Amino acid sequence: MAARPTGPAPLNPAPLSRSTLLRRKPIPTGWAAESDTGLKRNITTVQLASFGIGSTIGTGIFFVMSVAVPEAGPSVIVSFVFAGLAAGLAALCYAEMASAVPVSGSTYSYAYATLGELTAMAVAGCLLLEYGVSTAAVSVGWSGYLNELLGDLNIPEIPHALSAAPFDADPGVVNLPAIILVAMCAMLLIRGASESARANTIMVAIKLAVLTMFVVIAFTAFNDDNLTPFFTDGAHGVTLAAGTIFFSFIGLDTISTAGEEVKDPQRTMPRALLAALATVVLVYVLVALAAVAAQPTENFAKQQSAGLAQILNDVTGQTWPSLILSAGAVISIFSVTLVTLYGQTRILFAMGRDGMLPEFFTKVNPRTLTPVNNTIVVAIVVAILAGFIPLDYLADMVSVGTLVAFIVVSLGVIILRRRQPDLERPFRVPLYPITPILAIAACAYILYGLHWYTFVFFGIWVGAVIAFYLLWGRHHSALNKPGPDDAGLGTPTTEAAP
Amino acid sequence: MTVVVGYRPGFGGEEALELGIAMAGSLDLRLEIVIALPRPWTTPSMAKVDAEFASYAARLGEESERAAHAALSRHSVTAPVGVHRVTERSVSVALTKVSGELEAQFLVMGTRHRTRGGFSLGSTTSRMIHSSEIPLALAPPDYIAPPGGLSGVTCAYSATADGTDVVAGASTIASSAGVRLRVASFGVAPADMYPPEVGLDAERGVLAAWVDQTTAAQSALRTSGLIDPSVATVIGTGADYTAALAAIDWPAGEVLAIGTTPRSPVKRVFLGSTATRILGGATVPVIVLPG
Repeated sequence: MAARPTGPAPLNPAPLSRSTLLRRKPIPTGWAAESDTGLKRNITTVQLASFGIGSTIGTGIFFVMSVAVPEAGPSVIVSFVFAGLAAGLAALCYAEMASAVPVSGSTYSYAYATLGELTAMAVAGCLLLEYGVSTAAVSVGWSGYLNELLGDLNIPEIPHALSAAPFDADPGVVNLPAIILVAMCAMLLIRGASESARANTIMVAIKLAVLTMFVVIAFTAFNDDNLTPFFTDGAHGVTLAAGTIFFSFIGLDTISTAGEEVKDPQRTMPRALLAALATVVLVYVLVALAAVAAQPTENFAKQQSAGLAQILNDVTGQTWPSLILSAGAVISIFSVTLVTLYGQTRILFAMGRDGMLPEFFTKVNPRTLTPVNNTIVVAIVVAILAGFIPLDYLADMVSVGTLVAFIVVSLGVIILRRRQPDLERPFRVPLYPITPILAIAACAYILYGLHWYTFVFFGIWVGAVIAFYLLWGRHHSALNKPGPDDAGLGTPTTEAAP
Repeated sequence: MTVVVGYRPGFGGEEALELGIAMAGSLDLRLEIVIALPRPWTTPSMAKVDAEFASYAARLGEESERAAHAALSRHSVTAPVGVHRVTERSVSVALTKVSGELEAQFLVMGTRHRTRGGFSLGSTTSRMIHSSEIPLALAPPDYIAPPGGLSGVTCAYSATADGTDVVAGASTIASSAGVRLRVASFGVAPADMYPPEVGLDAERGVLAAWVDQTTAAQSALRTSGLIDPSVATVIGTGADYTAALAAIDWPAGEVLAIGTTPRSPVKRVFLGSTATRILGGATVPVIVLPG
């Protein structure tokens, strides 16, 4: 249950002091037993692992190869393993943080409760990249597979000018299908549609099935000549590619966010994490190995969109395998876009409730019971990104945001252990403090490999978010006014008789 | 002005009559019981099927009238009551026509049991909801009029611009009946999104924001003078509308007023999706106020 203010935070000037910038949101206590979401302690290891697999596979693997392979050559396989390891370590830290800070809103809320308001806003800036920009990135990928599917079905493809961004390697005017996808997902969210646990399971099955098909077919064209030289750009290439593909591992932290609903967190969480991580890394490594062994490295750069489907086309000389893979990708990437767009709207919602964003973002439509304003704003921004920015730029921005957010969470685990050692933690990271330190080191190393301009954009973006906080959020924070920590969301009725 | 009851034994008619008796007594209106009968086939047939049908219709009318009088005597209704047999091509046409002639202020009809609790509407009642110009009162299955008549009117308030019209309408009914008014808003916890990338708490935050907004909107009804400061306001939330309605107490004699949205001359009112769900979850009589 989230600690929350009981209304919009009025302007209440706060001094630019250390105590203001480092003030923390109180952590509610006694949450575990009273959770009333109806799924209380019902989620099993398999379901939890399925959440992790469902939200991870689909964010990048279908289209990241065309960017990552030119960077590292066949050693992209090592990049996948390394990125997976870093994501897994961070996810363990995430799990402890989620169990100790039972509030909604992802890393932003954890940072707010542990590292203070200023850091929370910086993390929020990272999350806007992790969720918002990744939604744009996956919808760009969807656009490529949609065109491939139309081609395989002998339906006229959408003209290049209308399906490629203006700053792409092969420039177009606008990526219209990506914009349409974002609009469709936004409409579903406004109407209150949500993906059910069963739909997630079906999506996981579709993704695994089409990727397995890819691996099996691509392995028939296995040529070990394509694997030499293995390290085309040495360790630098591996790190560079690890940074690019890191966004394929976004979503593994989902396991942690459902932690409060599992029966025995100390046992279930690591098992589910390991199961999901092993599955995801195995699938990615197999896909990467099958892809790099099936064609020379230089071919990948030409396959900017729908890379996996094009490999199947080249390998078999027939359209049906590509058609099946494209159809699977179109369906599952749609689902990923819906979920990540949703995640973005709810993070902004949590920020609005904390007074860090205008009340506009927390307005709930009384008819649909959804935050319509918030969803429309997010959809417009994401659609602009998806329509006009090429995939490789988007992927790097997502990776940098996610990596920094993961570092903050890992750091938060150490800080919280020192500051509040007695806090109830249904899950504790194994081998503390080695695990969080390794997570920080691994994420920092991958960050090191990213392009310099990615850091410039990232710095400008986070700087803008912090400036917004200093000029506006600081004065409107819900922590400026004393109030009840929790107005009782679990209480079924609120009677206000005079 | 009158309360017109669409009466037919065995088709929710008993419950409609019970509610009609309670409303007419509380609102001090004349009770008019309308027994709508099918129009016989006017073309003579060789096998005299038409005659058999006419005889059935007449028998149905007599039996219905007897049953209505029996129900009235059970409740010791002493106030003037009219019983009318109306022959028309359909029940809805009959009720619409007679409601106008009898200057009906309310039309009362019965409903059917729903498999999952609450009640559902028959085809005639559905048609009346979309065409009636006057408030339509729906009696739930197995409804029995409480001895004291109506005890209160709960208004389902959606906190939208249209919602104030419903509050005004419900307020008029409550003051006419001399009973208390209560303003209630019902919210349903949105379904969680899977995979839960931002945790399974996110939708509870949205519902909490809705509760805050609705509480403020309910308070604004008081400050704007639309409702008296003594009027109670209440919010019910749950996993669905049945649970949200069940989350607040329903004293004996309570009725629930809900609103409809004006649409077009063809379909005079449109029962919104929320109103439809509230109707499905209600366990007390519901008065549908035309928009």
